[in-house]
Formats: sequence, structure tokens, C-alpha cells
Amino acid sequence: MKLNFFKIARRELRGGLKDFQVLILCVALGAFAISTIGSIKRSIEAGLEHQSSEILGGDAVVRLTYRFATDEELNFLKSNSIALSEVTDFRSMAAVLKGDEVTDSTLIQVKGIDQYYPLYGKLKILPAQTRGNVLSKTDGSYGAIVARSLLDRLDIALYDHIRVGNSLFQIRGIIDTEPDAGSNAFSYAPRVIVLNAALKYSGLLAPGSMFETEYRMKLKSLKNLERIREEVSIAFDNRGLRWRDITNPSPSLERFVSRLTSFLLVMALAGLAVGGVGVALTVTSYLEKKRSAIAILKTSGATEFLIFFTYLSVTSFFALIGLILGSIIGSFTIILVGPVAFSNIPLPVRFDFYLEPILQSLYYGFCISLIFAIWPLGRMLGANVATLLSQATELPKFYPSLKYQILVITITLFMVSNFVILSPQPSLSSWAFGGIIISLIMFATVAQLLRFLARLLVKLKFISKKVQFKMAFSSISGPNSETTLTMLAIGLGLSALSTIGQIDYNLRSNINNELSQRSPAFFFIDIQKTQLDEFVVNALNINTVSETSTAPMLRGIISKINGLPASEVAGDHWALSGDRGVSYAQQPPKHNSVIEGSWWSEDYAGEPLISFAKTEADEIGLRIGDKITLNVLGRDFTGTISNFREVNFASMQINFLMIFDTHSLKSIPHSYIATVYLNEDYESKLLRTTANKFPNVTAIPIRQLLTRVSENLETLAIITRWSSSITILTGIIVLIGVAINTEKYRIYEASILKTLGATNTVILQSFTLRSAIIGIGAGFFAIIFGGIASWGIVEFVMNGTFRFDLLSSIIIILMGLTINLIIGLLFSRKPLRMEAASILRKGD
Amino acid sequence: MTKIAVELKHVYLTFNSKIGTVEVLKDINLQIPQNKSTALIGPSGSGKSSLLMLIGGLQRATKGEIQALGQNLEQLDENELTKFRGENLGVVFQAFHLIPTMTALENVSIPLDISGAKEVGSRAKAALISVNLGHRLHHYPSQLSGGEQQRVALARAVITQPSLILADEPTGNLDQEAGNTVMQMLFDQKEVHGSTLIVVTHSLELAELCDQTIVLRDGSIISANRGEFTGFMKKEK
Repeated sequence: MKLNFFKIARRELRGGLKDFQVLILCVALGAFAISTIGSIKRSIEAGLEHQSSEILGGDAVVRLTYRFATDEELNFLKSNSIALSEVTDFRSMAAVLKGDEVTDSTLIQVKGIDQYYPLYGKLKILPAQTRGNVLSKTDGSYGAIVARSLLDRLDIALYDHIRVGNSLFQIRGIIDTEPDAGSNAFSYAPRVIVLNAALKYSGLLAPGSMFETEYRMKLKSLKNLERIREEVSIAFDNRGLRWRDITNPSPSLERFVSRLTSFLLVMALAGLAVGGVGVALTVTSYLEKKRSAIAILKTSGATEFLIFFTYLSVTSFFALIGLILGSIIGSFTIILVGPVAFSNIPLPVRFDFYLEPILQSLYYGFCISLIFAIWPLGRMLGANVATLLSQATELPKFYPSLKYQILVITITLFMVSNFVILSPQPSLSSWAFGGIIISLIMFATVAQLLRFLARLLVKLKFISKKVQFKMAFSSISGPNSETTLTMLAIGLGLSALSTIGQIDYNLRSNINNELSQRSPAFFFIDIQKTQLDEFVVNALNINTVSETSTAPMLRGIISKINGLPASEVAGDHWALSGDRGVSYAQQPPKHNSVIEGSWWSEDYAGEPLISFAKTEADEIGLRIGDKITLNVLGRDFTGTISNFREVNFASMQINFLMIFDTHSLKSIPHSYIATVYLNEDYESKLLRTTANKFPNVTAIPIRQLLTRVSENLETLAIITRWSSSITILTGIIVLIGVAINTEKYRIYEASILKTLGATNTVILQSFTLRSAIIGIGAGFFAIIFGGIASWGIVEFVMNGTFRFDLLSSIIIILMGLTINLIIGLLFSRKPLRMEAASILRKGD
Repeated sequence: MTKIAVELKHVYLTFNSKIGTVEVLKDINLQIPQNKSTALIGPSGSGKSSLLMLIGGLQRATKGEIQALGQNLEQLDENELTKFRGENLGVVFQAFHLIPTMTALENVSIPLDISGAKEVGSRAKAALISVNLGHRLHHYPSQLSGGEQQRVALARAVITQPSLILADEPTGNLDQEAGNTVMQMLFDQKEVHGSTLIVVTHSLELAELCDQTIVLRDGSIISANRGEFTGFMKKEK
């Protein structure tokens, strides 16, 4: 009967489970992580899809900046929908009054609604009540429903009053569910919902004030969506509208989720790569046991191809068991745990069993399994029969023959390119993959370096005269050393943790120290021209105010560049996403220097000229002389770029992407922005006097916002740390696999040492020292690689100044030490307990 | 009067296995004179290696008394036994049992390191030179031939100048020529250091070189003199 690989593989499968436990666990963990992250992503996407109309607030929305729709525009929208709801949205201040005096105030996000709101979903209020007349005018004041955080922040209760602008509102309910909260659910400013009609007298929607209006349409049929979109874009041409519909209800939220999950997926793949080390370890030790079987197959005339597929099938079979288990458990875990874990996160999540993440984890898991199985298999097949039969002889080369190397590289490239192409962040993915591959290579290299160093150190007198040291160093440097596998197993996970720790430290120290020190206490917006001088005088009257600066501000949308739709020229550059603040000036701002072109004369009154931020201009591809069309309040203004400025948007000063000449924009209704620098102790006083004198002015507290950003960063760091823990956990399993595989060597060494007169204490000290040195080595190099990676990210991606965080580095070293020490010591018990005679006689 | 290096009185060694209790050694009584060489011979499974392990304190007897170099081994705890081995014993195994992560020089140095001796490096080097391995000091065991590995093991066994050298079939894994070299060296070292040598062997030639022969069969000593031993081996063959 002719030999075929399937038949031999089937025979080899018998009793193989014991040999493949580490492999199964490693790939299962990797698949679990990928499947879990994929399922979360899919659940959020499905939630967004399912509740797209609720999140958007309609089937389609037309958004305008600083203005309401004209009658003509309204008629047009009404004629195309079965219901139309008008919603305004803006930032303002909620003030608490005692008599006429403001005692406390805080930033809020106001939503003005009409009787049709919400077109989809339900606005749930606490205490439970129908919206009915909750918001309407009773006993002299309109009602408001607010986020609970507002009550906490202002220390007020239900049915108390707040002043917003010039109007008083009674709090008549707490928002339980806001169907269209979307990404605003994560905003710093608490939500306050009032009637649009009530805002008429607030003075907050005056010309030049910063507000947005949304016209939410309920359509007769969604089939008309595309047609209506086109008609709207024609009818509203040059009027500064932004269109959004249920096909993409919350792009910012979706983008955030997509970016975060794709980053977490990379972390999971790092875990899978470490799992790959476990695959290589398992396959190597399995094939060691099969040396004589392979030799006999070779001598019986079996081709290399047949043997290769036989053992690859065996490995793949067990890998698939692990992958299927891991991916299915991952999916079900999310269904079970997700609803509890996400109960406090205001996202529309639809937990269900999704096939896509399972297939994704199977695909990547299988690719990694192949990559790490082919290498040792190729090595074994490259050995001749005599070497195979001589059990004690090590395989001559670390590398398999060229054909196996090409196969491994091809699968790696295929998998990486696939991942990068499918990723929403190809650049991040390719960098991350590059990082993983380079890290693995670097850890394999530094392991050799560590072995070399140990070999040198063992010759030093103070080391060689202590048998514990000699044993430890020679076992690190000698044959069958676990150094390389240990470094690979925990190095990558520790590097990831180190990188996260350093970036987190740098970001937060930047925010907490530099930014908060040089940033103003407040940004004030919506200052009317008539209030400007008095506002400045009022601010300067407060103790410790060291500096104020003001600038006119309008908001507009870049609609065209050189006559072409802006998106065709600049793609999805942030400058085009929504409306941008613009200003006008006779002279360049003090903190911006003109680095190309020339500034206009103070009395310039010609065609509109623009000063553009240099970095952003370069990113978009703008040149001096290019024409930019800006839509302000529904009107297009086209200006010519006359110069580029160097603008540091992270400086926390008043900065604008575009500054026009004074003549061009001065006549358009607008307000002013101001910054005030003062001591923290006097912030509340400034806030109170401003709220008393200028109810329409909104104060944005920078310190609190920075604290909020810092908290959000901490949350992100925690999430990424957790996701990297899967890499650590996989590393620990690989380490256990290494310890299981090398236990026989430790038992053997211990037996010889006992025979030669070494006590258990001496042997234990030697094992401890060995584990400690390798663990500290892994931690040390993880800090170096993590430090280099985070330095690159902080300096070149974030344009910050890198500072080394010693504390997180010490923690990383301690982690490396602890993990390796615990596992090392756990697997030292047997060598210490075993009777030397029983081991040494076995060899005889 | 001849001094006694090792004395066993009514020594038993039994194991419990799935098929019941296995008696490896039964009521062993023997005396091994100091500074002499003794061969332990017998068919496979007769208990000769187990007997050697008991004498070396590498295994505990189930019952009986073992005196080695004036110490009652059964009364020593594990640490004391280890110390005893380090100070008095040199062991050579059939499978060499060198530490694979250490070079020849490092392997030979270990007993000196453990005992806290001085001039470890030079003494270890001299020991290797004395077994004609001066050119293999920095080779790992996997880089040495079987004969060379056994010579390293021999150098390691005698480097502390032990009073008692135990050799468990030291030529079993070697060809004739390498075996002869190792045995010659073993006897030379015994003479140089004035040690007591106990050798477990299947080799008649080797046994004949020893001062005393003890024949074991089924866990019992059946003879302790040369004439009977020769007859026994011939019969076994």
C-alpha cells in the first residue's frame, strides 16, 4: 500500500494531545483575544447600524453653523420629509443664583429641541414622566432636563433653577436616555435640554454666537435617500450645509471605535506572535521525540514532501483545535460578559454571535501557527538520517533550508499585508507589525548577547569560585539554554507594557506639567464686540490675572480649494472635518511667525487675503497664491493665501488655522474669544463676576478639561495595558512550556550536583539566580526596546519631548524577574526532590 | 590488620511497584577493605548498581546498616549525606553524566567549587591534563567523544582526592581501546590518591584487575572470592 501523509498523520495523532497542550493553549489564547476584540468591534458596529436613525436623530440631517435655515430652505426640507425636527446645539454656562448674584457656574452643552424631537427613539427622563409639558413655561420659567453630573457639579437638586444666558430654567428632570447622544455622551460638559422657543430670549443665539442647527428629516422611504442628498446639495450649494444620513450616523464615534479596536487587535496579534514561540517550542520538542520515526520514514523511501505534510498536518490539527476553542470562547465571553461590562458605557452595543471575528481569529491564528511550525519542521527535515538517529546530537543549523525560509517569509508577508490592507489605520498597523517582527528578532539577538555575556562572566574569578554562580551562568550560556525562548516568551509582552507605560507617562506629564502650567485658566467665547473692553477690564481687576488676550472669531467651513470641492483636494484632512475657527487681523499674532510669503499692510482693503498654518498647508498641499473658499453663515468667501505662519496648536494659546485680512471679514457678524491667565485660587471669582456681568459669555475651564483629558488617557492606557496582558499571559504559558521541556535538564543537573556534594540549598540558589538573571535581562531589554519605540512615537508622531519614566521601568524589570522566578522555582521542586540515583541510573 | 572502608550489615532494598514489592537487594552483608579495589559483578538486574548507589549514599536502604569511612550513612540526613559525598566520594558513571552546559574544565571544577577549595582553575586544568585532555579544556561534553567524556568524568571524580571512588560500569559505553585507557587511568588515580575503588562491571578483564570480587545474583551476594567468581562468570556465559 502506498504511503500517504494523511494515513501517517492519522497514526501520529494518537496520543499526541499530551505533547501539544502548550501549543493548544497558546494559540487558543491568541484566538480568544482576537475574537473578543473583533466581537466588541462588531457589536458596536451592529449597535450603530441598528440604531443609526436614533443616533443620527433622523434618516438624514442637514447641519448649519451659526444660523437657522431660511424659510425657503425649510420649505425645501419639509417637502422632502414626512417629519422635520429642528435642534440647536451649543456650549454655554449654567449659573446658580442667590438673589441676583451668581454663586456658581459651569460649562454645559445645550440642546434646543422642538415638539417633534426625537423623531426616533425615546428621550427617557427621571423621575419617570412623559415629556409632555416638562420643558414648557410654567410659573414664569421654562423647564430643563439635565445630565445628573450637572446637579453634582453645581451642588443643586431637582426643581432648582439655573440661568443659561439671560433666561432662567427650572430643572424638572434628569436625562436617563438621550437617544441621539452619540459621541457627546463622552463630553466634559453636562447636557442640558430645553425648548428652542425658550432660547429665543436667552441672548445665546444672537448673530455671531457659536451655535449649530440641525434639521432632522424623517423620510417617506429610504430609497429616496441618495436622490434627496443630491437635491439638497444642489439646493444648498454654497450655503455651508453639512449632510449626514443613516449610512454613516456617527463617523467620529465609528472612527474612534475602529481606531481603538484596530490598535487592540495589533496588541492581540502580538500575543499571538508570542503564542507562536509556544508553537515553535511544542513542535521542536515533539519532533525531538519523533527523530527516529522521521529517520525511519526517510530510510523507507518517504519523500521530504510527504514527511513535511505529515507532521505539518499533525501540528495544524492541534492548532485548529486551540484556535476553534479560543475563538468560540472569545465570542461567547463577549455575549455573556459584554452587557455587564458595557452597562455604564453610553454606546449602542448589540451583543450577538458574529462569524466574522471568529473567521478572523482562525485566519490569523492559523497563519501564525504555520509560520512558527514550518521553521522547526524544516530544520528537522534538513538533518540527515545519521544525525536524526543519534538522539544526543543537536541539529546542526538554526535555519531550515531556503525553501522553508521562503515559505515562512511568504506566509508572513501575506498575513501582514492582508492585515494592513484591511486595517482602518494601515500606517499604524504596518508600524506595529514591523515592531512585533523586529522585537522578536531583537529579543532572539539579545538572548544570544546575554548568553555571550554569561560566558564571559563565568570566567571571572568572583563568579567562578561560587558554584551557584558558575552553574547559573553556564546554564544561561551553554547548550540547551532556555535563555532565547524565555526572552522571546516574555520580552514582547514586557516591551509592549514598557512602551504603553512610557507613552502614558509622557502624555500625562506633558498635560499635567507643561500644558497646565503654560495654559490659560479659561478660554472665553461668545464675547460680543460691545462687551469686549469691559470684559478685559473686569478680568484685569481680578487678583493675580497676569495676562489676557483676545481675538475676533468666526466659524466657517472650507468648501473649496482653487475652485474644486475641498475634499477632492485635501481628502479627509482634519481641517475639512466640520467648521473651523477663523479670525482676522491687521498684524500677525505675536506667537505666530510668518515663515513664507508676506503679511498684508495694516490698511489693506483689497481682495480677501489669507494667512494659513504652515504644517497643515503642507499636509494639504497648499501653496502661496492658492485660493480657499470659506463658507461663513451660508455665504462663500474666497481668499488668496498670501503667507504661511508657524502655528503650534498645542501651545494652548489662541491659534487659528486661517487668518483673513481685517477688511474682508470685519463686517460679518461675529464674536470674540479671550484667554485669561490667573492663579488657580481666583478662578472661581473670575467665573462668578463674568457670569454676573456677561451671562451670554461661555467660559471653558482649561484645567478641568486637561484633567478630563488626562483621565481619558489613563482609561485608554488601562485598556491597552489589559489588552497587552494577553501577551504576558501567553508568554507565561510559553514559559511554563519551556520549563516543562527543560525540567529534565534541571533534574539531571541537580542529580549530578548532588552526587558531587552540592546541597539542595546550593542547587536552589543556582536555579534562582538563573531565573532571576534571565528575567531581569528580559525586563531590561524590554525597557530599552519599549523606550526606543516610545521615544520615536513621542518625538516624531506626537511632536513632544520624550522623558524617561524610571518608575514604570522598574516595574517592568520587577515583572520580568517575578514571572520568571515564580515559574523557575515552581519547576525546581522536582529536581530538588528527586533521588539522584534514580535519574543517573536511567542513563546507564 | 586491614582497615575496612565500607561495611554493610543486613541491608535490604525493596521497591513497591504495580505488580507488588520488588526485592532488589536481600540481606547484604559485606566488608570492603580500605585502599583496595573491589569489583561488583553479576548479571543484569542482580542489584550491583543499586548496591553501589547505597554505598555512595545516593539511595537509601530499606533496612540495614551501611558504614562508609566510619560514618553510618543511614543516620545522616540529606544535607549530611551530600556533605559526606562531597568530602569523601568520587563517582564515575557508565553514561558519564557531565553537565552539558559546562565545558570540560568547568565540569571538573565543580567538586572543588562546592568544597570551597583554592586554585580551582589550575587544579582542574592539571586534572584534565593528567587524563590527557589538556587540549579539550573548553569543549562542551557534546563536542567530546565517549572516551573523552569518560576521562573528564574520571578527572572530576578524583579531583578532590576522595577516599572512596565508585565506578558504575565505567567502560560500558566505550570501545575496547577507550575502555582500557579509562580503566588504566582509574587504577592509576586510585594508586596516586590511595583511594578505595569499587567498580561495577561486566568485564572479566577488569574484574580480574581488582583485589576483591563480589558476585551478586537476584539481589544476594553469592560469592566474594576470585575463584568462584571466575567459575560463575563462565557458567553465566
